[in-house]
Amino acid sequence: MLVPSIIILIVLIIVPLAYLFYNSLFYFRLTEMVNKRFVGIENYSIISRDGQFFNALSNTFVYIAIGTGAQVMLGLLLAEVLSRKFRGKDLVRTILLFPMIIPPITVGIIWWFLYHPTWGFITYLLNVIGVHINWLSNPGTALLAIILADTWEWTPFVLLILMAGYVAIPEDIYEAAEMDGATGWHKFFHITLPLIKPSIVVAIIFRTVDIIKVFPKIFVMTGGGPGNATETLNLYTYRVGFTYSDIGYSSALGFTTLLLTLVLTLLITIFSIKGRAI
Amino acid sequence: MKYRHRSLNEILFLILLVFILITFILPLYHLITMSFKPLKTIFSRIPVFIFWPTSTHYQSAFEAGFLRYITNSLIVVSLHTILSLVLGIPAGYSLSRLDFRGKRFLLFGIIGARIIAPISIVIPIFLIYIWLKLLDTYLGLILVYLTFNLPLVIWLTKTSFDEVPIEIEAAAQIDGASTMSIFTRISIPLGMPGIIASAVLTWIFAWNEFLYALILTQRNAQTITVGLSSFFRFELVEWGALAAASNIVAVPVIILSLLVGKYMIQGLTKGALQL
Repeated sequence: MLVPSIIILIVLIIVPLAYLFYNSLFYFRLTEMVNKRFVGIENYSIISRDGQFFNALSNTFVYIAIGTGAQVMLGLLLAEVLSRKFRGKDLVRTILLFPMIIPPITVGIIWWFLYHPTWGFITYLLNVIGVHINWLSNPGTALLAIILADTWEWTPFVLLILMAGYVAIPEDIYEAAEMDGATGWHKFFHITLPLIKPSIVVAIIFRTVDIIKVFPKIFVMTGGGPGNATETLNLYTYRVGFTYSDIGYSSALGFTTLLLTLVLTLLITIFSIKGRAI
Repeated sequence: MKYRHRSLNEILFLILLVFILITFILPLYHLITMSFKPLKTIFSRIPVFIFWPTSTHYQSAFEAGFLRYITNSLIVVSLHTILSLVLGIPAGYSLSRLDFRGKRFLLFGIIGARIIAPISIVIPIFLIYIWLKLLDTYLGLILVYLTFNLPLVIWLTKTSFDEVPIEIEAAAQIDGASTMSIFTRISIPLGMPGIIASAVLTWIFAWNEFLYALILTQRNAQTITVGLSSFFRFELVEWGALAAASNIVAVPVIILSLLVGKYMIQGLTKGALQL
C-alpha cells in the first residue's frame, strides 16, 4: 500500500534531482547543442564569481529577513488579539485564510493593480499624504513592495501556526502569574513568548523555505526588475534556464539553491535548539 | 462600574477585529469590484466606490478563449487530486500502522520534499518530458504536481489515522473482518477529517500552481494561472478582462475555503506542527 507512492516519489523527485546535478557538470545550452561538453565543477566556480548570482542571493536574503521578521511580529500581535474566545472566531479564521489560499499569481496581480502609478489604490492613499513614489519602478522600493504583498498574503499562515501554539499554553500559568502581580507585558514576554517559541521556529522555517520558492508574485509585478532589483535566486535560475536556455549553468544554480535551502533550514533548527538548551 | 469597563474593552476589541479583517479583505475586495467597473472608472485617479456595474470584462475574458483554460485546469486538477488520494491514503495508512526499519528516514524524506524548490525539479523534468513527449499534456502536469501534493496527502492522512484507535481495528479483526474491509469500512470513515483536509488542500495547491504549468505547457494544456498571462498583450494590458479572469481563477478556491474552511485550517496547522 505504501510502495507505489514511494516509487512514484523517488521517480519524480530523486531522479530529476540526480539529473539536475548531472547536467550541472556540463556546458549545456539548448541553443548550442554542438558545444555540449563535460566541464566538471566549472559551472560552480563561475557561480562563485557571478555578480548577478550574488545580487540574487542578497535579494533573497533581504526578502527572507524582512519578510519573515515582519510576518512573525505581526503574527504574534494578531495572535495575542485573536487568541481569546469570541463569537464568530471560526468565521474570522476562515476569512483570514483568503490571502494565502488564493493563487499566488492573483496576489501578484492584485498588488500590481494596487501599486499602479496612475490609478492604483495605494498610490492614491500615499498621494493624499503627499508621498509620490512609483513603488514598482523604483529599485530602492520594488523589493519592499513585494515583501509587503508577501506579508499580506502569508501573515495569516503565521498567525494560524502561532494560534495553534497558543492553545497549548495552559490558563493556570497566567492565573498564577497574575496572582504574583504580573502585568500584561510581563505575561507576554516571560510566559507566552518562551512557551510559543517552537511554533515561532516552525513558522520561520516554513516561511524561509517558501520565500526561496516564490515565483508568480515577482514574475507578475516586476519580472525581476527594475534591473535586477527584485530578482531572487529563483527568478535568476529561471532566467538563465528558460530565457537563455543555458541548462548547464541553471542546473548548477538550481542545485546551489537546494543546498542553500538545506543549509538555512539546518542553521535555523540548530539555533533554536541551542537557545532552548540554555 | 465593572460592567462598563468590560463593555469598553469589548468595543475596542471589536474595532480592532474589524480593522484587521478589513486590512486583509480590502485588496481582494478591490479586485472583485474592479472586475465589474467600466474601464473609465478603473482608470480614474481618485478611487470610485459607487458605480454602475458592467459585465463587459467577463464577456471579453470569455471571448478571448478563457474557457479553454478553465477546462484544462478543471481536468488536470481534478484528475490529479483523485490520483493523489488514491496513492496517498493507503500510504498514509501504512505509515501510521506499520513499523519497519528506516521508517524515520522515510518520514523525514516526505517532509523533506517540501523543502525542494520547484525550479530545481522543473529544469530536469523539462528535458525528461521532451524526451518522453509529455510536454504540454494533461498527464505531464498531473504527474509533476504529485511532487508536492503526494507528500502532503501522505502526511496529513498519516496523522489522521494516528488518531484512530487501533483497538477498534483490532476488535474488527477479531470478529473476522479482512484487512481490506477494515480499511474501507472503519479506518477511512474515522480518518475522514484528515482525508478531506488533504483532498481540499491538494485541489487548491494544484489549481494555484504556476511555475510548472508555465514551463511544461504551451498550447494544449495551458492551465488557468498561466492563461492569465494571455491578457498581457504587446503594448496594452487588458486590465478589465484581466481583473475578471483573475476573479474566475480565485473564485473556486474561495468557495472551497468557505465550505470546508475548518478542515483546511486543521490540515494546515497539523501539517505544520508535526515538525
